[in-house]
Amino acid sequence: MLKIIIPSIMLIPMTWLSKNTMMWINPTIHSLMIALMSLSYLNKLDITNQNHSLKFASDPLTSPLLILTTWLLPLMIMASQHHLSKETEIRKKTYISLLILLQISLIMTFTATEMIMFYILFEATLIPTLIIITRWGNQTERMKAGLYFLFYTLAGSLPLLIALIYLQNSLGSMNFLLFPYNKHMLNSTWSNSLLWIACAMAFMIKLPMYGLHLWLPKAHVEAPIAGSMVLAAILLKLGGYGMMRISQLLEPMTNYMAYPFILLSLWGMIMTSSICLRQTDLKSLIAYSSVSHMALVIVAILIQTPWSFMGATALMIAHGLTSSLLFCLANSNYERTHSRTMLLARGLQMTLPLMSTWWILSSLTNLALPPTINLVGELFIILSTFSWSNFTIILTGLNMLITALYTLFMLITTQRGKPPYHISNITPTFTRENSLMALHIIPLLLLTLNPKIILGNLY
Amino acid sequence: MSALTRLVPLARVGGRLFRSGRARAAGGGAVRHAGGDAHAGPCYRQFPQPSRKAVIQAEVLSATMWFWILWRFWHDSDAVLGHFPYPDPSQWTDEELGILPDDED
Amino acid sequence: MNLSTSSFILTLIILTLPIFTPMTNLHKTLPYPNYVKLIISTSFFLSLIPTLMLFNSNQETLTTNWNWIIAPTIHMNLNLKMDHFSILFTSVALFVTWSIMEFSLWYMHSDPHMSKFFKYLLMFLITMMILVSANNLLQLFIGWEGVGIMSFLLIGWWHGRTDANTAALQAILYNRIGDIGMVMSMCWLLLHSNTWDLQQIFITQNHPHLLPLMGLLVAAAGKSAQFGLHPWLPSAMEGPTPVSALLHSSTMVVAGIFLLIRLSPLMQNNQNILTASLCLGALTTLFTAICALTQNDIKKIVAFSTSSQLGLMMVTIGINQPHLAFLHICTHAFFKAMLFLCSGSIIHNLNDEQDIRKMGGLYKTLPITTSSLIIGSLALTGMPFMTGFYSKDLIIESACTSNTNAWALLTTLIATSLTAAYSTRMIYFTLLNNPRSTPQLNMNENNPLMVNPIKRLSIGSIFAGFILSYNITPTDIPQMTMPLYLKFSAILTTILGFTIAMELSSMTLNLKIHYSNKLSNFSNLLGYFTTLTHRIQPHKNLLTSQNLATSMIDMIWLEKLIPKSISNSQMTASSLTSNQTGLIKFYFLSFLLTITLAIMTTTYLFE
Repeated sequence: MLKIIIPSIMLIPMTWLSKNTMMWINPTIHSLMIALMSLSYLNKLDITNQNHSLKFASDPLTSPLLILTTWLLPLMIMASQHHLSKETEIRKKTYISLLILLQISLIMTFTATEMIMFYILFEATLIPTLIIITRWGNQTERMKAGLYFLFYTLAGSLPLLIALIYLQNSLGSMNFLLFPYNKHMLNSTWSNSLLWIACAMAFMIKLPMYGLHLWLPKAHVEAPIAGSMVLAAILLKLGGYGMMRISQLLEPMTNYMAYPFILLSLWGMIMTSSICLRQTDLKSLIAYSSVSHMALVIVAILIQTPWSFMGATALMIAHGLTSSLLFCLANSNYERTHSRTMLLARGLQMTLPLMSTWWILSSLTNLALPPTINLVGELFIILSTFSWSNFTIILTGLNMLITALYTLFMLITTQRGKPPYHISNITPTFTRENSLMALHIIPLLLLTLNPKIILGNLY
Repeated sequence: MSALTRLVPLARVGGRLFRSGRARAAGGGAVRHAGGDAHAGPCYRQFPQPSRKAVIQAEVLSATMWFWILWRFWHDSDAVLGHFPYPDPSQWTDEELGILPDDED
Repeated sequence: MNLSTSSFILTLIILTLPIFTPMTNLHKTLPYPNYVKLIISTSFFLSLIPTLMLFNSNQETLTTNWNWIIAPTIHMNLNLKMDHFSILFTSVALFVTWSIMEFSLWYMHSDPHMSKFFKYLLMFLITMMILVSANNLLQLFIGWEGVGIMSFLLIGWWHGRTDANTAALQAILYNRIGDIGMVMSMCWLLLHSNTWDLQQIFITQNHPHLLPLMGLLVAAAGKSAQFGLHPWLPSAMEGPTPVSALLHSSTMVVAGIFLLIRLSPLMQNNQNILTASLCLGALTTLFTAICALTQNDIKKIVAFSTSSQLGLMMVTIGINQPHLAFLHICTHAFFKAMLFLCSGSIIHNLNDEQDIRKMGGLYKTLPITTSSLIIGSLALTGMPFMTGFYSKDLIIESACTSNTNAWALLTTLIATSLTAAYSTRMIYFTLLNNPRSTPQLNMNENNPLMVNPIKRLSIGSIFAGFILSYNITPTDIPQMTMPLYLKFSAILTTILGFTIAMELSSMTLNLKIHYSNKLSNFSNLLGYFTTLTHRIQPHKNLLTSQNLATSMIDMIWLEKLIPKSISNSQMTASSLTSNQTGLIKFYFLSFLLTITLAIMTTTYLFE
């Protein structure tokens, strides 16, 4: 694993030592190389645990997320060039270094084999994200967004810390590899229920679960483009990943503790989708759509069947790429019209036809058009919820309907229709932007050919 | 790829078989011609006269239809009138039904 | 591996070529649209090989080509089913699409994005082919959704118009409602038979539960615009005419019926679902026929007639004759595509005029279109020995002789008669009498790109039914004999419809139009359905999402409950505990308190 981590660390001195003209190119190329290097982890999926060291290892669940993380860094660097074009060189370098720091901590979070270690790194990702949001956001509301982001997450994770310390004391080891051999069963007492909630809540806030999701739209809307991308693509997935890991510890409790959370998520999925129907703010719409998709992931993880875990993993990867792409597209609109309001950027198909292609492709993946991996994820999840209870099909089906509606509504509003006069002289698309979108779409399409590699543990 | 490109003229020749030459003259080629080959001039308050060819084609189409209908009716009138006479139970004789005559026994 | 399989797969592969070739040099000698047309005609001729082999030897094959996912307990493969349905439908659809493509070379010649239009049309066809040739439900679902999305893109082709965008969104909305049913039955079938392969499902599920069957029915109703989910179909007329032709003849709307035909072995043992689809179909066919009676837009009349025919197909499913329904799909494709092409020709020649009240007298100026329109209408109404007759007459006869419920039968018969009536009305208003169009006329039908497809399809409308029905081995025994009044019922009702419509039209042509007629309003406004479902309900839903989801829960409750309440309580607490108030009274008070306390403690402690 050091073969990924050390080059990532070395990206920082490389950024600072590069000439100003090469400042964007060097980290982009190098991080892309790291991403290509990490692709080799997909090759050994059948091995349940690739023990690279005692501290860091990857298994089928980790590898797709890890590769997504490394893949996203060059994309983030590419995406934020325009956003930072007015800043000084030092600040640009600081910004890139922060992204790299975030990347390093994310890699280590995903690969950590020890739960306490995981926790520390999980919290460590907060710091660079917070700085990115509050320093480089566009409006003054970014402070509030940062506050929300920090306090929601912290409020959830402090109980987790206590729970973890308790578990560490009672189990002796918190190594993931030992979890399956663990004979410690949680019997149903009040204190164990609290323990369950403490363990699950931190991750549910991170995902986020409906009701605790308020920080997400705010953070997404206020964050600069790289922040939105990494939030939607990876930070949310940390929650799902953590829940899948820790659910092994909470063995029999989940069976009945999960009910309120499953119901809340199913309900929240509909609610957030219908919020999307009325959004005027493009970024906020995408953020709420993330909440709605993540609700499916929560349901799937809580149901705890092999199918649902596979579906949850697939949906996390698919959604990571899709929502990141959507944020990039929203940002490219924002850079031209200087507004996130959808109505101000209508009829862009006439002026930016290639961008319109990316919009169509991303919308289609967002509404889970078969045979994209989004569909694989959603179908597996719907299947497992259907087998859990037949009535859930009403809610999941309704969610499918509303998802299609708001996604296509977004597409129609931004791309179709008559272009208003004020956007007639916008700048054409850059190769940088088009390649950015292509680098999102290509993995999505390629993964469609063989979705098996992102299904996580195949049991 | 080069092998494929070499096949192209062949495909084009094959295409000509399916595509009528006139279609190519009108809609094919790099330049698009609106309308078609024979233009009827604009008319005001009077009917534009359809070309003779069009009238003949239309008549042939209708004639084909009527010919087909009548011809099929001549040969296959059963399809409209019924293939077999529907059995009418009131016509069935006692003998067919196996009912013995009343004066028996 | 025999010729049938390979040529069928080659047919499908050739179709995908134009998707990939725009960036290569392969087609540069002829324009992209012509290239697409060429590919489709080639593909059609190729598809004749399996079709003729099917006619000859009646063989069916199944191939498994590629393993997509092996998840525990389920294998998802790419497998193609080449049976009666898929082979025949492929040929028919390719023939019809070939004509439509050629027609759109003429119809869309001034469109700046003509190549894209052709690519979309082609993709529309390909998704339909995927649906038709699928042997498992997942693959079918891929085609199913693909058809929906492509119809979204094509209906919204002229996206500068708001109506086009709304219609496109509507199509997706209704289709997605159907998809809920589809996904539900997919889930149920996977959970209960552990596979999505059709033949395994049929083996394991002899008497399936009502739930997946209802799901299938909902799916078919959404896709095939059955009553309740029908409003998107007339709205879809916002798309260009070739799109409507393709949408209504061989793709999209027949997909729903095709699904039921494919899965008919599941349905045939369940009387409840058969009755449900019978009643649904009967209701659809009558309601949409009534709607078609008073429409003034020529495309909407044809659209409603499609809807009515789809209802008839659903009735056929309901009387458990899936093969007949399939035959009707095939024959319907010919004359419906041609009716649309004819109306496209009329619309284009009258400078984009769609209102039949402003047409008339076209038999003099557009002879070929006139002949073809009449041929198409006769075929549609089931004139003996035309294409429609071979399926429609059989359907009505077998409905008459089966022990189905009399209400559905009567409804279907009335709808049949109404079919004749609205066809007559359309012919009467567009072709006969005096012209009511603008005095400036510039019309001709000399362009072979327009005439040839129409001619080809009209030949198809005359002969296709005969060719198809005489070459297919009948799987269900056709009704050979029946009382004479039943035998004549279909023809008599049709003739009745013709004569009544003819009489009424010629009688009322010069009368003053009496508006505020309740019955006419009901029919003209589509049974007030649009108002109910497209005004009130979306308004309610959007209002709910605005008020309940966004404002009340998200912005007020969740915001107040957690972040605001915490910050408020912290503020109150801190302001309460802080003593930096700046009031000298409080400072003295605190001095007083501390001194008193100090004195008291010292006195009490050290006493």
